[in-house]
Amino acid sequence: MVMDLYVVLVINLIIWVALFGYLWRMDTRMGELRRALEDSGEGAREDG
Amino acid sequence: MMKPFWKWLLAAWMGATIGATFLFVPPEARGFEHPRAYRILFYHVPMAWVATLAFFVAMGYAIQYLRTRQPAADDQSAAAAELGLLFCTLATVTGAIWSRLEWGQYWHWDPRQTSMAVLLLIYGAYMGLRGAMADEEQRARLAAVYAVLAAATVPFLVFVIPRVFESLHPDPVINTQGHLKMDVRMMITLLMALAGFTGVYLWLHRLRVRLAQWERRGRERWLE
Repeated sequence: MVMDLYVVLVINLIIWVALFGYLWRMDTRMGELRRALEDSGEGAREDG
Repeated sequence: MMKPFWKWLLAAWMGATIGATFLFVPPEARGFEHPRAYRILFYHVPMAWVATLAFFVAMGYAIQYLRTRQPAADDQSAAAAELGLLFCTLATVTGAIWSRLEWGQYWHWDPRQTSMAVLLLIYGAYMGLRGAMADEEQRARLAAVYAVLAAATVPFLVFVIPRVFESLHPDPVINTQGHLKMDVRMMITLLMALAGFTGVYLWLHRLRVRLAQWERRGRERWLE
């Protein structure tokens, strides 16, 4: 049934939303830290 | 340091893997209520594999921390445990959806479902333990001891208990008789998915460790 393939697509979606959500959360936090460190004068020595 | 080339390779690999799960593998598998939905296997199994791998990585770095007291080892251990929890959650969710299709209910208290739920509780408590302690040295020491004890339960919960008790869960890929019962195309795709998701894990782990190092640098800077 085609419906079964939709379920596989939904599972794909759940996994990638979770993984990219985690990545996005890390990226946001890293951006905050980079700005805070730059404001305090240390600057960012590494790329994200 | 992972260069962008490896990120593109990983993205291409995962794209090829997803394509293979729909186009390369046999259209249907025997022995399932929903023979086309067996493709969930190519996502569900790697989630469980990566979770198990991450829990052992967390234990390895926890032991390293206890031996060396290097904060970097604590960062590595915490990153692995956090990602292990994420992948364990995804294994549970994908398993529950498959369970709904095949067995009619999302949750059956099947031994494998139950042991994964116990792992979620164990590593959820680990995150709670880390969050509850302000002192960095004390947090790292207790978390390392906990990570070692928690990982000691993983072989029982993942490999032993599901094989001891009656389960609706299909045999593992290499079953109790030590036989591989899988079409070659399915096996190739499964190996591609296992390698790809392991790569995704290693990438996220590296980023998480870098974030932890930045957080430490920030704390040290602002405490001066």
